[in-house]
Amino acid sequence: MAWASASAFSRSRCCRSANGAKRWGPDQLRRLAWCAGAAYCFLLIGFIDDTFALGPRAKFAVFVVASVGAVLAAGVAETLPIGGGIVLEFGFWIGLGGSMLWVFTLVNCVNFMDGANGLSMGSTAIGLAALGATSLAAGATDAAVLAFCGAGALAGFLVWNFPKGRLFAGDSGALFAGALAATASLMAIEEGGISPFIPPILFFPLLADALLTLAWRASKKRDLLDGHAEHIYQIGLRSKLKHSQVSVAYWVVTAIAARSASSRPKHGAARLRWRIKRAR
Amino acid sequence: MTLAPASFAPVIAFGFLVVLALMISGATRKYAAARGMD
Repeated sequence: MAWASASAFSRSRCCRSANGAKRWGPDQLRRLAWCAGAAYCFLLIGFIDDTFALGPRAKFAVFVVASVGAVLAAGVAETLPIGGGIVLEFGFWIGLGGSMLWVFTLVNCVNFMDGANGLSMGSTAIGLAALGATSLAAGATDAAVLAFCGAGALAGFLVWNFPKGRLFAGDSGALFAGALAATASLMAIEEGGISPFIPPILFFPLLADALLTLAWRASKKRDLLDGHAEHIYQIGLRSKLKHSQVSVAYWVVTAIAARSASSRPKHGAARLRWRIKRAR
Repeated sequence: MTLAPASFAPVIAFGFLVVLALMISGATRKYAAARGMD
């Protein structure tokens, strides 16, 4: 659904470019296709995992490879502006590692947090909508197309998933949504020059719950690859809060975090390379 | 708040959220431990 919407919207942008709007052509379409293709790779991994139950180590290896592919499709973030005109330059390989870590982390966090009706998909939808608005403000049309289409598709999904859980995303859907969010973020950084700190703010509640739980489990010397029910939202569910209450609380926090990152997003200093374009 | 060019705002906002998340996470885990839900 997201891909169909992206294609349709892309074509409409191509037509409008003749009237003086930002030039849109085959390069942008190709780039969107690569990014959507990378997201679909994660969907396929989720499907295979649901069907054949990949082991944690095999899944880890496959995720790393798919994350590298997604970064090459979306763009490598090689610089990190920290304010005051200070820009840390990392070069291609460290940039590739950092960008890969971003995709790997967000994809997994969205999947780990998909345990209450509407929580993960709703928060991702809000983050994507905010990313779309931020990207548009920064002139990153490609990223905005991907983000808005993803947000729209997830909103449609939520009609069925929230609050009664008549439809579930499963690993396939959660990994796809996470990959879409991660690649759209990289595109927004590369194309619009937004600060690399903004995407983590937009998806902060999902990242914070998943990563702090991971850190807490590490401090208790528990196996990080084992399944568990120790996330903050799961504590909420155990303390007899409804799925809908927990989900709405995460949506509100995501919206507040997103609002804080929504105005004048350009930092103007990051110069990132679009590897697909360079390679041609 | 503005996330303007060369601004510290994104870093400050991110840092603020991290501190807030640490506090909320710590408080929730204490709450869960006190009620045997951890």
